[in-house]
Amino acid sequence: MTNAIEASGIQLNRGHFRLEDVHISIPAGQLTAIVGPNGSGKSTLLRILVRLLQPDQGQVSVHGRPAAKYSLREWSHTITMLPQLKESLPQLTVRELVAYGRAPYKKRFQPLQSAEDQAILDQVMQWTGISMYADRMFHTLSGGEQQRARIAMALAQQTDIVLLDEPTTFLDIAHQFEVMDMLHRINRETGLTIVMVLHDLQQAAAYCDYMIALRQGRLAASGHPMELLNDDFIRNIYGMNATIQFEGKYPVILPEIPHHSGGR
Amino acid sequence: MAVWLYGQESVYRTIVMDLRVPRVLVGLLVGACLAASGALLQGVMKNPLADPGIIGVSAGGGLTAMITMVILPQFSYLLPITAFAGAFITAIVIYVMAWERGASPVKIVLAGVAVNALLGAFTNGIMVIFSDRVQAVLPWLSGGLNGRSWHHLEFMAPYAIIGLLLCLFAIQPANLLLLGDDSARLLGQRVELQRFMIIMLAALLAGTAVSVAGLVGFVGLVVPHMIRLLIGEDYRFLIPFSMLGGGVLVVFADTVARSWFDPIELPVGILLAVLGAPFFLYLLKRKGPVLS
Repeated sequence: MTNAIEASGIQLNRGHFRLEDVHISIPAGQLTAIVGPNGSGKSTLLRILVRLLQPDQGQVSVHGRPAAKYSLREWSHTITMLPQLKESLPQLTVRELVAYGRAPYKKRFQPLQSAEDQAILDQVMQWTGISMYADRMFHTLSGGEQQRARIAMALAQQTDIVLLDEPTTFLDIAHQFEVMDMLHRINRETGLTIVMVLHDLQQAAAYCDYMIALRQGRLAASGHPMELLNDDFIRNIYGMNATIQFEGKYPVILPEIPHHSGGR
Repeated sequence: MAVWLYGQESVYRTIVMDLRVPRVLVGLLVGACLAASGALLQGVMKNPLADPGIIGVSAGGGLTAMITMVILPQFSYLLPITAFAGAFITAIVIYVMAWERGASPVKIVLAGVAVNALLGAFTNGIMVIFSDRVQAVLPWLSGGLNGRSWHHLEFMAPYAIIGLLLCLFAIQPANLLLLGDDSARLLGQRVELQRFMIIMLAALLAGTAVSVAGLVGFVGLVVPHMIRLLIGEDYRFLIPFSMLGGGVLVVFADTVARSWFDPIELPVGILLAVLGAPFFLYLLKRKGPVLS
């Protein structure tokens, strides 16, 4: 199995944001989850992997080539990231938003989308199931639909690797599974390398081929989620006691709920 | 039309051709430049209150204009050039002050506040020290088109037209910056360079307007917001319609300021502030998107 991304000796110390000697390999063409408690450095690591943040030490390679060796244009054709749903977006139709994903391919003096661009937009909107909303204003969509539209924009960029920072946070449970299902399907159909920061360990284990766990800025564990996920893992990474049972392929985390005495 | 019937020597022809036409053309360019400048700044600074004043154009142009008119009156024919230079250099100084691994909009705004206060203090100091000569400067400080003629147009037109045409290149970067710096970077954009270039373009546009019309306020702030309410935030439409709206507003306001209070000609800047400030307050009170 080849690796899409390799990071070695990543070191960063900026106040709250710190990573210490992180070595990771992310397999190509698979779904990878990055998990860990709040403040463990997941989003920071993601930003380093896409060159938005420069580590103090260490190196990132993509497809075996140092990240720094890529031109801006090559980079934007190779890897992209969907940030957390925080920044508000301008008022646009869904199709206009998705079309921004074509910006890295735009030549000067070529403002209108080519037939090829149009075909790509149609395709990614079909993959993400938002074709029927193409002409709706983005901000009138529900949270789940908005997330799918943002993912469509990232897909329109036609990179080999897409990183997503908490793609399911802020979504209700049905929309969470809808987005995970969709990403899983796109990965299987297109071989796109997908890396996600996830909070839900159960979903991470059920959908992902590979899992990376961070704790306090250090790599704590990595491997196949089914093999990683056990009682010790929860204790070591999250510092809580729980037992894990598998319902078929789906793990269920049963926390140990302390019985408080007293009350009525 | 009747004007043309009076023949070559008519006084009306002189009034129209030598006074009104250049004044209207200068007004159109001034309004277009200020509104385009404001539209660009509000986007790349991520600040709905951004107008050319925020990057020091007014304070810098005002100070150098004051120095020219009050301290070196023998060079007052150079006024457009010195005001333009003051406006443009101040914008660069503010940008440099805000730089630290890139210039974030917040830092530019803060540096702008500080530099504006400093230059404002100098301007006020000069006004106090040379209080006997200040009279000549006051109309310029409040912004006006009174007596603007063909040679003012000749001075500003090249800069204005170049600046307005350069806006075409700013449209796509400005749109992408609306997505946020990270997203724009991931889409292969050189965010720092683009923000710098767009701010310099905004300084060029506003400096050009300030150099001939003085400190005309509110056009750069209010017009882009009005256009946004009508047609949305997409810079492909926002820029050309802001230019149009700014030009029309300044000419309209100048016509009103010139004729309603006859025989006194009000500086157009005063009228624009009187119209613009309440309108802006209305925008703040109004529910809905101004610039999220």
